[in-house]
Amino acid sequence: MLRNLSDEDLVEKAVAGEHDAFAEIVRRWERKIFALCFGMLGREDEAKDAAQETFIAAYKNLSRFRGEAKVSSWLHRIAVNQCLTTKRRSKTRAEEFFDHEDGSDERAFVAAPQHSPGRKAEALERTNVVRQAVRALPTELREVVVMKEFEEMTFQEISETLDVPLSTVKSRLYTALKQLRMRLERTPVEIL
Amino acid sequence: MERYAQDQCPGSESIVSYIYNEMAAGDRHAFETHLVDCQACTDQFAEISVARFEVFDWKRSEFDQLATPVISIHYPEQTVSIGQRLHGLIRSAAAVPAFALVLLAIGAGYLYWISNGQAVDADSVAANPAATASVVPVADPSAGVASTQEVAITDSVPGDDGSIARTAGNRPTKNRIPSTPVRYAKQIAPQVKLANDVAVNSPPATKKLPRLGVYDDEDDTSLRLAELFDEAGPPQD
Repeated sequence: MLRNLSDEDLVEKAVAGEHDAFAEIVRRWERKIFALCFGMLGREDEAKDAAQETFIAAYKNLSRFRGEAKVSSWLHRIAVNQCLTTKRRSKTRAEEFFDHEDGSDERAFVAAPQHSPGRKAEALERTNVVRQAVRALPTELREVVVMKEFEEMTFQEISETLDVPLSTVKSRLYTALKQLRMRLERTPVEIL
Repeated sequence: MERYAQDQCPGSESIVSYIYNEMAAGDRHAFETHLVDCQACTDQFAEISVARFEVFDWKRSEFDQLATPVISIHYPEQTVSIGQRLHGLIRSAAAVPAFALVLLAIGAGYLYWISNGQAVDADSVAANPAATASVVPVADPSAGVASTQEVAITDSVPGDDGSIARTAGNRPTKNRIPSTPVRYAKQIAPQVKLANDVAVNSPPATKKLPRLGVYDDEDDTSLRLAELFDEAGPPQD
């Protein structure tokens, strides 16, 4: 029943004390918030921690949500702030690590992978959707995505390889990701 | 360091540069500061981050676990056509005459060296007749008869016929001029006639040689060769 409600309605219910409503918000947005954190932090373990901290902060501040902005924008802002906090913390820990070379305080936290059958089916479906979306890209956009993600080339290397300006490579990649996002939005993956 | 004004958002290039960590540290800080203040850029950044992560996750789940394929390339066997073989044969055949020419040149050079060596021998004979002629007759007007005078020749051994034997540098070979046999105590022509009819003039005596009949050392009572010849008389042929 909660799946049919909008994000704003879910927030209202969550503010009213329905914990399931907030759980539905987390289910809808956990992957996207994690992706945003991954884009900012570049590390999966830190991104998972930041995403978790984001939802904790959102839950604590539910009453401050005015409804003037979309829930997604509200979560994005919390996530960006959380990522910046994580980065500052990581920098401090790195400096402490170099001060105390034993590194005893440094602990890498990696969330255990989820191997439930439902998650596997979801991952398989998402893989198919993304594969088709990438395949549907125009060639000049797809080749940039492949070079960047699969070949792990730098923008400069791609520029030299394709013999196009550096700004063209970046704009092509941006356009490719934008189109991918739109195609993925049109074919949403059923989250189990 | 790039700073973004409140109404000036970073472009799409800055977003992908930040996501793929190809932005300078100062620019990253400016970009992050702008994200905190700009909701539109935050949402735009979130959209691109999601799309990027989906591609990343797809690659990881579908490709990263694949084993690296072992690539083996089977090259087709090279087949040499008849034309190519003929071409190779012609090329190798062209090398044979060149090699033969080199051999001929070496042979001609050797022959020239051999013939030139004979000329050198003849020249050396002309220049140094003492090496071949063992006896140089010197006319002695005071004695009234021609007498012989020995020239210092080492390793000289008289032969059976009374001739001076060969010396180390005077061995007769095919290409060498044989020494003329000279009988002792015989009147000898003032010239030595060589076997190949090459007249060799006697060199002027640069050193006055002692005569056999004149002895400086009166105390020396050893048998004189000239006295032996006088006692024996002329040879009977």
